[in-house]
Amino acid sequence: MTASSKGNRRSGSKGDLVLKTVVGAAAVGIVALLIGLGIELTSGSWLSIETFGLGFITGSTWNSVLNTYNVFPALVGTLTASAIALLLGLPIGLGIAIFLSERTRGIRAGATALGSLVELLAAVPSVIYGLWGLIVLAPFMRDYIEPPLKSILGLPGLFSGTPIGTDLFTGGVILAIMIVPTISAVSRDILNAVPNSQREAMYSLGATDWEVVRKAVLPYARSGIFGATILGLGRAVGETMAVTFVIGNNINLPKSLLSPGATLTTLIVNQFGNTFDPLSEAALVEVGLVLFLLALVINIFARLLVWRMTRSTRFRV
Amino acid sequence: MNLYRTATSGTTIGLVVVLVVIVVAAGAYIALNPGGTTTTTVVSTTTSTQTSTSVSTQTSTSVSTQTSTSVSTQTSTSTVTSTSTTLSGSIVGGGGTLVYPIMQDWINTYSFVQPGIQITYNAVGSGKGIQGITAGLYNFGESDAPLTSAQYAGLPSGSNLLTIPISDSGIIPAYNIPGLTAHLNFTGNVLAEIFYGTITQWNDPRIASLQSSSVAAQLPAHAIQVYHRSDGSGTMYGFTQYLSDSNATWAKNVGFTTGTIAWPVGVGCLHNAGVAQCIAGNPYSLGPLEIAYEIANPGQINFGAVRNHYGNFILANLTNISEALAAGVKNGLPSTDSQWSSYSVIQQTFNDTTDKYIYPVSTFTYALVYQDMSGSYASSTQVQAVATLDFLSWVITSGQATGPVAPTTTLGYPPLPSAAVTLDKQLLATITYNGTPVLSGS
Repeated sequence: MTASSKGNRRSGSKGDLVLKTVVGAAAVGIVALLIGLGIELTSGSWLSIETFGLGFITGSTWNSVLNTYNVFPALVGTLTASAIALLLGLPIGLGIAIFLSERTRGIRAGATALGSLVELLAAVPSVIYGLWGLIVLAPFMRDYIEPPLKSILGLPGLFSGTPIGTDLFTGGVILAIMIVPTISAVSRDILNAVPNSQREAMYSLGATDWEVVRKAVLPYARSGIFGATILGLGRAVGETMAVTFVIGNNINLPKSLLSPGATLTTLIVNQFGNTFDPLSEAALVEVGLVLFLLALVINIFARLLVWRMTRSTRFRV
Repeated sequence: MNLYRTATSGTTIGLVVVLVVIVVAAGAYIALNPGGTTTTTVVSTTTSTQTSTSVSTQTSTSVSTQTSTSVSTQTSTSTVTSTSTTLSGSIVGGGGTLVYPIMQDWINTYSFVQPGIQITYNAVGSGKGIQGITAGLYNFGESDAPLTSAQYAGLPSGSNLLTIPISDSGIIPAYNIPGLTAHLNFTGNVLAEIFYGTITQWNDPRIASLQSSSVAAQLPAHAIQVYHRSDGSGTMYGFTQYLSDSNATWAKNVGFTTGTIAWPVGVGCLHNAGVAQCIAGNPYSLGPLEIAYEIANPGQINFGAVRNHYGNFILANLTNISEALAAGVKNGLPSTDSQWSSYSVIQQTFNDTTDKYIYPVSTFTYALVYQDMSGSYASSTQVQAVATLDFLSWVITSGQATGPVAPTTTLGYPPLPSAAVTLDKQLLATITYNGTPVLSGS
């Protein structure tokens, strides 16, 4: 037994070298890929950066006839749809997470089954959400959700215009549906990491379930839940196919949430196949650059928060 | 130790199984022709039994330089090929998605004519097709619109890219008005005003005045829900060019392009199928749709007639689209090697005042081939040049066949008018390799 384990260890030392090399190369490779991507996007979009300057971000015209390419409407579309997604997705995602971590204590099998169902939702390819969105969700929004919203909340600018189903609001709703699994899966893990002593202390003071969740669990997991939210936001910002199906793909500046709109990603997916002249292609690459920077900032933010949360948990326990 | 071994070999077996599954899945995926790329690989085995030696010099040269396994010696067959020669080679084309369904069928059928030629078509979009042929990625490019002058300027110096019509396409105004089964009448001007946002209601007098009184009475007092393609496309290029010809305001403020059109109103839906879905799923909608979609899915969507210059309201079909393009080219096409950027078959058709039954919103799709295929920019071997031109010659002749089972009829691609076929043949005959016409035998 001893001999064999020694033998294993000896052959393992060769393996160690291989392991070190392979994982080292992989780690260096991913950094190189990220830097290379940044360089490639910048150089690829240089013509557009030179031509439009800051007007690329602030201007509202995307028009091949005029040869002018600005992304402000698409940027507004991305931020609006993502904001709607967070507004609707966060409470639901967090609710699922709280249910899974707090209410199913003692029935582990049920929690596991439900948890894997949520994770399964996260694995559904986005184009399927898109098809479902176009065929089922958009008509439903048009007929049952948007008309009452318009009559109740018909605030100037927010829910004005004709309910058409394929618009910014539906784009936000489908994003909300898509980020719920992300938010709930990560949040559940974070809530599970909250030490039971927290809860027990509250219960021993005679607190109700709601008070325990609100005063002991959520504050403890706050930064982690924030990280989960940012991860969801990252997915919402980068999501392409599902949004393309339901957002209406109109590159004019949206007048209300019921206007058809566009996001940075849908702009690329819709227009890339038919760009030929160098300027329009450079402009689309610059859209990619804007998206890349946006996603990078969001992800770095999320990583930092999750890292901070896990570290502080370890120290508190 | 035994346990450890078992665990290791178990893991290894597991890994191997996973690998095998991946490889098999990838193989099956490729074999089943994934969307976007059609690869037809048929290894010719018939040539080894052929012993005849009558071959045209040009073709035999190209065949003997070939190192493929299918053709090793002098060959000639009495099979169905147009040049009575078995060719081989592997060629790649790329371009618009509009022709993709019929291109798939062409490649498939042609593989029985020339089993040794393997053709791959990448449906990447017209712009990328032009870009691909410019960069030498493809043996032939494909585009739904002729090159613009800027695109001509981007071509490799010394090159001459030929524009060869290979198929037709018509664009229909499709709509969904609950309870209305009649075909509505439209004019180019009224369509332009609807898509510009000037006409917003279905019962607008400008629409109603075009209809018979019984149909006009059925027009609903409901807003028109406008749909269009969200992506740049040849279909929208044709449609917006027609609107530009019909309406000065549209021409001045919106214009036409295969790129991004700044649609003043409406919702964009991805691809023809998306537009069809948007129209079918939303009452009181209207949108331009490629006729191939309607023919492939007959009766699923209602569409209107469009008034031609003669004054008749024409409901599009394969015949009147083909006739429209015949009318469009009857005053001649750009001479064989001249640029097409200032030529518009849509405008020619639009201006045609004598033909009574042509459908006015009709356009060509084009193959793009370098005139000198031996140029380094063309990235083609002589074998590939011969294979490319043989395929394109077949496409513009046998590939245009109509009938109950012919792809042009069943897939909804009107056949090329004979004037265009004649021009195509002239164009293909001018293509050379090392100074010699590639198609000298035919």
